[in-house]
Amino acid sequence: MLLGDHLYWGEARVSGVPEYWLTSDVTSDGGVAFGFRALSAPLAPTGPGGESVFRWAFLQFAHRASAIIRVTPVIDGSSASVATPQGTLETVPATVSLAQVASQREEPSVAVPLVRRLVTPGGEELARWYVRGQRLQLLIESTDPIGAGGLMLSGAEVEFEIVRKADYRQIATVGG
Amino acid sequence: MATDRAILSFGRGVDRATGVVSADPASPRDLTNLYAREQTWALRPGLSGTGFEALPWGTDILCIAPLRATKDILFVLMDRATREVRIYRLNPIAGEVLLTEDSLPILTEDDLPLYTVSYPPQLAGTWGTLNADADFPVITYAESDGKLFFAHEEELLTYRLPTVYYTPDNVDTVVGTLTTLQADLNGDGTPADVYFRGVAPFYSMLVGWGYGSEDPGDSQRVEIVRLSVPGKPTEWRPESYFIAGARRDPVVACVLSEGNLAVLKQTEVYTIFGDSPANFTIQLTDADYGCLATRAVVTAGREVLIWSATGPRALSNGRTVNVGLPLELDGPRPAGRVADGESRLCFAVFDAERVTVEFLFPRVTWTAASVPTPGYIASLRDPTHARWGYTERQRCVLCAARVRDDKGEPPQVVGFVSGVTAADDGLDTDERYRRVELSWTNVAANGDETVQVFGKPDGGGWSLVGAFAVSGLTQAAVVTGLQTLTAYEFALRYERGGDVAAGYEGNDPDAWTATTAPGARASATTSCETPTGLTGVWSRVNPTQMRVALSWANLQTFVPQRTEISSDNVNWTPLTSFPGTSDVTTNDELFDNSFIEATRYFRVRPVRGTVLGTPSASVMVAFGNGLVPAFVGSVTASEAVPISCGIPWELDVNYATLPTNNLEYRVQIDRIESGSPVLLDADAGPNGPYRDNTSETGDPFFTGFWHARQYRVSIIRRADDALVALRDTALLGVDTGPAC
Repeated sequence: MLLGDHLYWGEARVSGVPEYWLTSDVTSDGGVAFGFRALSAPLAPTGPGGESVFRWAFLQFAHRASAIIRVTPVIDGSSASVATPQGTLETVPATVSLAQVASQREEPSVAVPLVRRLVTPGGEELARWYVRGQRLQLLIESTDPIGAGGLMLSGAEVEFEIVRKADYRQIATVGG
Repeated sequence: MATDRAILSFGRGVDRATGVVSADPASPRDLTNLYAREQTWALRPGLSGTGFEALPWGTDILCIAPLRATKDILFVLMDRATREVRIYRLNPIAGEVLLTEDSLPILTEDDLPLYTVSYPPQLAGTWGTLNADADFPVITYAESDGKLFFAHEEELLTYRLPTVYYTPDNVDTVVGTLTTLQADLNGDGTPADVYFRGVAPFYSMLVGWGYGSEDPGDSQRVEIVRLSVPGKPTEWRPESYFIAGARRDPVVACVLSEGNLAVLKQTEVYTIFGDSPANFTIQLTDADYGCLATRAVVTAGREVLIWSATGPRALSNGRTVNVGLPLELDGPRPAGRVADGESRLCFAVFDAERVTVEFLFPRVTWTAASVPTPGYIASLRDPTHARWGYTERQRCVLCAARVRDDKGEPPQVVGFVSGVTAADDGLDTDERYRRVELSWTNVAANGDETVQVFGKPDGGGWSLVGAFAVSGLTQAAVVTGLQTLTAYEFALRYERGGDVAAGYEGNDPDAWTATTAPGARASATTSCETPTGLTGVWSRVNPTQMRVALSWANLQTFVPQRTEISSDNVNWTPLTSFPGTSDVTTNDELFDNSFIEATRYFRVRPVRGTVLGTPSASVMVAFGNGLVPAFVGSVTASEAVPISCGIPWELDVNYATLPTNNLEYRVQIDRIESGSPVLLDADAGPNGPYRDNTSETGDPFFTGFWHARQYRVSIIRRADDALVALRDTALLGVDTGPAC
């Protein structure tokens, strides 16, 4: 870090002498770590209606900082678990570990499966399958303190398979 | 079906507004602590230590203000417990910078480990104390003509602090001064404190808004915008102002935009067009949108962004354009995002390195300072449209500013002075002391040094007696507070922030080893004011002692003095000495009777040890006598030439007085004829004999009788002809009938 033109920030406190800091490429604010969160807009290959199987997401990173990143597929606006007679249908977040890099920035491409699983009430996993639905969003967030040196999300590719182009469920009509 | 792939190019900003069907999957619905770059989302920067000294006081940093003229950084601090507001100055003298624990700890071989040398923040002054009912303070600042102005954005005038400005000191290591801005805004000829609600720079002028004048009813003219005299931010003409829109509808902020001054209200924008007071005009340029808060405006290159009541807008040609539609601020917030703090505390900051603008809404009240601090970050790397994200600062930040902290280590002191002269320069303002004027030549000065002057009185030790900012090739300065009538040595050197040139170390000039050190010395002996108005009055104390009462005036006090006496006004002898512990201006000199009727000269002379001051003008005193003469022995008459018939005869009157030389008295001789005195001699001298040489020849008859002769001797005081003593002689001869 070189001297020069910097942004200085001032603190407010209820008690105690306030601190002041400058903007720098660190992943903490005055010693308190922060994370990140990105939620993509829906990807609906078949448009409204239809159904696709979303298999993999290939995420591209550029980093020097270490990070533990969780990628959660959000199908049709939800990643919540669903109870079924056989058990609980859970979305399985994928965890990406990026190691701290000493010198040059690395640009790994990470393949992340987009899966759900069925877990019995006893906790036993019975099956896994790719997520399936009308539209997919990727929730990408850090879970642990991020290292130093910068981190960028350069993009993603989603592998999908269109299952059908229309939803055969009865569609409510308007008016009539 | 075969698999397919969809590419999601990250790098777009948040888009919560576009409907699901049409939304680009590459656009995020939530982007927290990331900002858009070229086809990427990058982690936003954090906050790390500056390496400079910690602040010494307060609980809240209300404002950070850079003073570009001197590369100083000023902090406006408040203490919640007392509500006192102070301004501190940080002198960011720095050499190399040590990366702190918070910053990048991993260094490559290309990174240079650096360290910072800095000075503790200095108190510039106390601005004031906030009223117990005042809003949480919002401060604006503006630099103009090398000064930094601060205004307190407070709706109620009675709660508002006066506008103040900081003036840096000529010596970099010395903190500057804080002054309340005063101006005659009502044209009555008397300046009064000014209470702007905000200040901003506008070319060579200072802009102040929200205040009319001190006249009752005029002080709450919150729609008024004032401009200072160009180049003179402390000078304001009563007639130099604009009215922006409706009365009592306050101006919120002012900002330079595309060469003109945009005047922002909450729901309107006015623009002052023109480039000088001669052609300024004000026009309403946006009738629907304005600025939400005083600090919710930021300049980013050519762009000016503001936060209006409906969200962020860009200012262009006085009109505003919505640039925050993708945020859908009127819709639900992203999951887990905290609510924004009070809108009037909103502040904005431009990161020139990352080309982002961030609007923050601190969650601060008088009783709370919550984290995180929510914000909205816009990437302006594509100037055609802003790409938004969210931030959550993990500390409660209340202000931010772009500053220069590369003041750099000042160059080593290498210069010195030469050709030093010193001379007494007269009476000090404290009449106990003297001044000495020094002059010298500056050699190899950088221009920011301080010339330290050390002085040593004869028989004493060295001490720092003066310090002056170096100025010019030749320079003169006056050292004050010096003792009178004292031989001094002076030694000069350069100093900057505690550093001195090699060979000038230490505060004992006798130990300086630099070859130039001897040339940086001079000597002078201080003088003393001459006593004036000397008078002397003789009087007799008693029959054996006389007194001369001397009286004079001293312009210079507490100076040792002595009285002197001379018989010829040439050769002088000391009489009485005074130690100089008080302002002595009188003294009685005592003399015995050997000085009766003598003439002597007196004077007063300052003296300290062997150093003599200029004596006063001398005064001549004629000694008197003061003793009243008295007869010694009897007073007689005797025949010098016997009385006989037919021949002249002479008679002597014999008398003696003591003292004989008191010219204040005279002796009078009278002949007693027929019982009455007949004056013979009014001033017969101080002592006898007196000869009555009346001759009577032939017939001594007066009406046929011999006349006996009788005389009277009188001692008379000349001043009032008062009779002091009288003696009559016996009859000489007899009154008889004719004998011849």
